[in-house]
Amino acid sequence: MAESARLPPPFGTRLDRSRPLKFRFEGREYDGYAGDVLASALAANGVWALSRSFKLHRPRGVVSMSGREANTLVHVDGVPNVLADRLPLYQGLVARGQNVRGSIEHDRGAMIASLSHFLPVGFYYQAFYKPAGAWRHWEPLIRSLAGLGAPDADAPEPRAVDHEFATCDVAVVGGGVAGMAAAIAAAGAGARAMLFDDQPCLGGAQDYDPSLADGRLASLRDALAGTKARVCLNTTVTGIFADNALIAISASALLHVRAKRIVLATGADEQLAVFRNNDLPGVMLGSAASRLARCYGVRPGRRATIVAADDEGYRVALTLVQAGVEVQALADLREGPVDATLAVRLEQAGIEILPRHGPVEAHATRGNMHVSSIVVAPLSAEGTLSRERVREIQCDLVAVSVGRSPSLGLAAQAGAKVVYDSAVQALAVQDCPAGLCIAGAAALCCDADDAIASGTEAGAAGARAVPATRKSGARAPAFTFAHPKGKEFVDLDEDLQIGDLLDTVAHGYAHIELVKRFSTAGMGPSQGKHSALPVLAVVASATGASPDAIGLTTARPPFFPEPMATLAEPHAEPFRLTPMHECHVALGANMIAAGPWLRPSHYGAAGDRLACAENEALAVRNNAGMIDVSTLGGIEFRGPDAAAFLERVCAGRFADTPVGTIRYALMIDESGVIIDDGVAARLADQHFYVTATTSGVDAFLRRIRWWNTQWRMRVDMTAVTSAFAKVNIAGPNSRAILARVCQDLDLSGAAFPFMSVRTATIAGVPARLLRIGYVGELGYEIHVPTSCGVHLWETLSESGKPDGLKPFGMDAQRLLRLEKGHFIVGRDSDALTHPREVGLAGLARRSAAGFIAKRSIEMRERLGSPRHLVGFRCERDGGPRPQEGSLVMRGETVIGRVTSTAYSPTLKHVIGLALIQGAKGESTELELKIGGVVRRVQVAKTPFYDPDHARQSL
Amino acid sequence: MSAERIRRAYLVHSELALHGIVLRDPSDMPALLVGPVAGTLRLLELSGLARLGVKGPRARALLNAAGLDCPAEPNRVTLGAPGVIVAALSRSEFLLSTTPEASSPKISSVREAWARSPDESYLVEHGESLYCFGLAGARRQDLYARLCSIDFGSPASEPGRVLQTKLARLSTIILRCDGQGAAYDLILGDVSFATFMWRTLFETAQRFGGEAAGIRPL
Repeated sequence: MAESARLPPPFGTRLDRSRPLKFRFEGREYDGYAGDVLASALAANGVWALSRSFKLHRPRGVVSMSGREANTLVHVDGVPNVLADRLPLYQGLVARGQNVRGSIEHDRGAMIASLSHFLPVGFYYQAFYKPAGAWRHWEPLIRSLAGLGAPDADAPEPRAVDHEFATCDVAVVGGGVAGMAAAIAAAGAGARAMLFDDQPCLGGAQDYDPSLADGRLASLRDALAGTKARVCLNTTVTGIFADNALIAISASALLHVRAKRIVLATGADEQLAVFRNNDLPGVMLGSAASRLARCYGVRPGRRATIVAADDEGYRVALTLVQAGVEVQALADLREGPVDATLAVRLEQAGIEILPRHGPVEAHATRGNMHVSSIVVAPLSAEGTLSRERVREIQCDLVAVSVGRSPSLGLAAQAGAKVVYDSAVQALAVQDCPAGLCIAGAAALCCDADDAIASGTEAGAAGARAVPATRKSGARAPAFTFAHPKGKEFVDLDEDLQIGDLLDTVAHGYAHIELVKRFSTAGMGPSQGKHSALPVLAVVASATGASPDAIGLTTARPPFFPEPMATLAEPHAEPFRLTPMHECHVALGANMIAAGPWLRPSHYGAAGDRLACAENEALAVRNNAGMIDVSTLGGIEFRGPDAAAFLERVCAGRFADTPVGTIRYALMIDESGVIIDDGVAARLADQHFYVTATTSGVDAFLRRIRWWNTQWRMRVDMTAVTSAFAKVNIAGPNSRAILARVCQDLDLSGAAFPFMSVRTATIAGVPARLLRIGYVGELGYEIHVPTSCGVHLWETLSESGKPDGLKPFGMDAQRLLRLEKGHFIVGRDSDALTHPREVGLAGLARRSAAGFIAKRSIEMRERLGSPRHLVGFRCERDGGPRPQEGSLVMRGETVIGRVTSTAYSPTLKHVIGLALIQGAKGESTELELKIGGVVRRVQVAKTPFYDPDHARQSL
Repeated sequence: MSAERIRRAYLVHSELALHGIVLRDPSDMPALLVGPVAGTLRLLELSGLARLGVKGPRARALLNAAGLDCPAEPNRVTLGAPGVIVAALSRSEFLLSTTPEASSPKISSVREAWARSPDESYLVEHGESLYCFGLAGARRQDLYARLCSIDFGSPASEPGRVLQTKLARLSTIILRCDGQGAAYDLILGDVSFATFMWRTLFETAQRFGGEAAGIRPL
C-alpha cells in the first residue's frame, strides 16, 4: 500500500496540483496538494489507518470522508480530536494518531482487545465499587485509559476565533441542489438569505456523483452566485435553538445567526452495514470511496468489492472502474437495481453481480491494519445469511452502499417531530414548527428534480412550515448481520457491537433512552449519525417491538463536535477601572479583581501583602490614610416619596432623618434575609444619596425598581456609582489634612458631626462629604465628579504629606473594619442570615410599617435565632492560625465557620468573626478545626477596637 | 484653589496614548466625524462632549421650556436645537449631548430651567457617568456584528434611532445620528468600562482597516 494512489485529472476536482505541500504524520514526511484534507493526502500516500479505536484499540480509517465519525480523529499541532477528513492540508502540518500507546502499527494498548470478554457493555457500572475502597485503586488506571485524545500542555494557546452575529430572513442549511434552490428562491423573493454548508464547495452528493444532477449543478451555482445570498462554506451548523437561533462554526469563526425562517436541506447520511470486522481500514461507505476518487484524486483501493442495497452502489462501482480499481463483485442485498440499465453497465464493465448476497465478515491483513478480503453469502427468504454457501473475495476495498437516512438531527433540535416511519423504512419528519421547512433528501426526495423542486418551494416566500414532498424512493433499512464471533460494530465511536446491545436489553434497559445511556450508543462524537438505525433495528429485534414504537433518542446540540477554543468569545472579560486607577499603578499598588473592578489590595510587591496591609492599617490608626472607594455603589433617590420609599426597602426610619444627616441602611429582602448594606445621606427633603456595596448595588437597584413598578411611588432612582470618584480619608490627622483643601466648610466636630453629610468645595471641585467611620477613625468620604477624581487624589496626597498620609488598599481596609467588628454582607453573612444573627434586630424592629421584610422579621423573631455572629481572639502563636472558612466544632459536630480573621497589629493578637449555631452568650470559647488540628480560641466582645466609638466621633 | 486649576481627566485617554493617538482640538471634530473617512471605519473618543440626562414625569416639559425639541417616540434621536442632540431613552427619560459638529450653550439652559422649576424632573450627570465614543464609516455594521446581536440592517436601526443594547456584553446606548449628510453613531456606556470598551472597539475596528482619534475635553 506504500505506492502513490493519486489519480490524474479529471479526478481530484478540489485539488490545486500546482501547490504541492509537505506534512508529517506519525513522524514521517509525506506530500500532498492544496485542496487535500489530511485523510485524503494520507490515503494518497497509502496510509489508511489514522488512529485506534476508543475502547478496543482497533486500527481505524476513513468511513465517510465527510467527518461523520470518530475514526478520523487525530492530534494535529498540539490540538487533539481534529477530524482528518475535514482538516484542510497545509504546509508543515504535523499530526499523529490518537488512542495509541506506541505507534498506530504497534499499539501496546491493543492488548486490551484480548480482554474484551471481560469488558462487556456497562462493566464499569458493575465493578470497582467493592470491596469498599476499591475504587481508589482502580481510578488511576481507569482515568489513564479513559478519554478521547489529550490536550498538549505545551502547545501554544489556540487562536481565538471570530465571533459574529448575523441576521437574515431565510437561513438555509445544506448546500446541495435543494439548499441551493431554496437560497435562490428566497433571495429571488427579496429575502436576505444565508446558506451554510460544511463542505468546501456546493453540490452535496452531486459533488462526487455528478450523474445525479445531470449537469444542472453548474447552472444552480451560477444562479446562486447571481443573488445577494450570503454563502458560508466550510461552515457547520451545530445547533438550532429557540426563536430560530442557529450556531454555525468554521475553522476561523463562530456565527450566532438569527433567522426569520429556516430551511433544512441537510441531505441524508449514508448508512453502514453491520457485519463482522466492518470497522477495518479499507471498509468504507460508497460515498467515501467516490469522494476520495472524484474530489481528492485518490484511488481508494486496487481491488474492490461493493456491498449494495441501493442503486448508488452501482454508480460507485462504475466510478471505481473509471478510477482504475478492479471491482471484483457487487453483492446486492436486493434482487437487483431499480434502474436495470445499471446492471447492464456493470456487466459490460466485467463486474460480477451477486443478487441477494450479504456480507458475512471481512478479513484483515496482519494486525488488523487493512481489509484483505470479504466473505459474502446468499440471503435466505428470512433475511439471514447462509453459513454453507459462503464465498471469500480478495480485495483491499469494501465499499458499502446500503442506503441513506435523512439527516434530521437539526430538525429535531428545532422542534420538528422526527420518527422512524416503517412505511418508508427511514427517519421522517411528522410535524414541523412554524418557520421551519425541510427540503431535499432530508425530506425523502429521491432524485435531483424532486430535491430542486422541494428546495424552491421551501425557499419561496410564504412557504408552509411542513415537510416538502415525500417520496418513497429513499429507503434505508438497517442491515445488521450478527456473527458468532462478534466484532460486528454498530457504533464505531464506542466500539459497540451487536452483542453489547443484546446484553443491554437483557439487563432490562429496553427503552431506547436507557439503551443509549447504558450502552453509550450514539454518545460519541458522531452522535449516532450512522448508528441510530442499526441500534433501533437490533433493539427492535431483541425486544420484539416495532421500530416505530421504540422511537428515537432526543437530539441535542451540538450536532457536530465543537472545539472548545471556538466557544471562547473574544473580549469576554469586561473590567471596570476607577478614575484614579493610574494613580494606584504609579504608586506600585498590587491590583486585584473585585468582581469586574480592579482595586489595590495593598501598595507594594505582591509577596509583601500581609506586611504592607499591616503597615497601611497602622498609618490609619496613628496618622491618616486614604483609600479609593469609587467602586462603592451609589443611588440617588429623588422625589416626593423618596423617604417613604426608602422605609419600604431598607430597615430603619428615614422619614424623620434631618437634612444633612446620615443613617445606616440595611437592605433586607421579603424573606427577612440581609442582602446588602450602606448608608443613606439626606441631601434635601426629597433627595437621598444612598450607598451600597460594590458587588451588591446592581442587584439591589434591580430589586427596588421591580418593586416600584407595582407601587408606583413618586420617586426616581438613578444609579450614580460611576458618576462619582470617591475617596475615604481616615485617621486622627484627617481633619487637618482636609482643612487645607476645603475652606468653605467648618470641619469641626460640632459643626460637622459623625453621621452627617455636607456639600462643599474641595480643591476647587464641588464635593459631597460624608462623615462616616467604616474603619473606626475620624474620617470623611469625599465624593466628586468622576472626571475630577485624579485631581482630588493628587491634591489630597500633596496636602497630607506633612501629616504622614498614606494610601491604603482593600486588605488594610478589611483589617481595620474587622477591628471595629463591622460585618461584610456576603462574607460574614450568607443567603440565610437575618438581622438578629448579626446583632441588628433592634434596627429591624424599628422599621416602618410598610417595610417589605417587616412580617418576615417578626416571624423570625418569634422563632428565635438559630445562629449568631460572634467575635473571637487568640494569640498569634500557640497553635495554627485560624483561617477564613475554618470550621467551628462542638465535639464532633460542626456548628459554624470562621467568616473573617486577621492579625491585628494594633491589638497585637489575632481577631475574627465566626457565624455559629446557638444563642448569643452560650460559649466563652470556640473550638476551631484548622487544617485537621483543633484550637481553642476565646470568645470576645466586638468591637475589638475602640468599643466606645470615641475615635470616629471626634 | 480656583476652579480654573482643576484638571479633568478621562482614564481612557491613557489607552489612546498607548497607541500613539494624540488628542485633537474640538474644532477638528466635524471633519473627523462627518467628513470623508479615509479608511473604512473611524473611531473617536468624545467623552469630553457635554452631556446631561433629564428624567421624570415633567422631563419633556422641562426640555421644551429650555427651547429644545424632543423626539415624539422613545428610542429616537433628533437635533433638539442647533448643536444639541436629544435622545429619548423612554417616554420620560432623555439624554442630551452636544453635537460633535458644533457646541451649544443649550445644555446649560436646561440646568437653568431645572433650577427654576425642579419639580418631578431630575437631572442625571451623564457627562460624568458615561463615556462617549463616535463611530463613522461604511463598515460600522461589520464591527457591530462582532460585538452585538442586534440586526443593524433592519429599519429599527436606521439613522434617527436609539439602540439600547449590549455591546461586548455591556449595557450600551447607541445613537444613530445623521449629521451634515453623513451618518455616524455615538456610543455611550458606563464610564468605568471605558478603557475596556475602547480597547475592544479599537481592536475590532483595526480588523476592518479602521483608524482612531480623540478629542481634547471641551
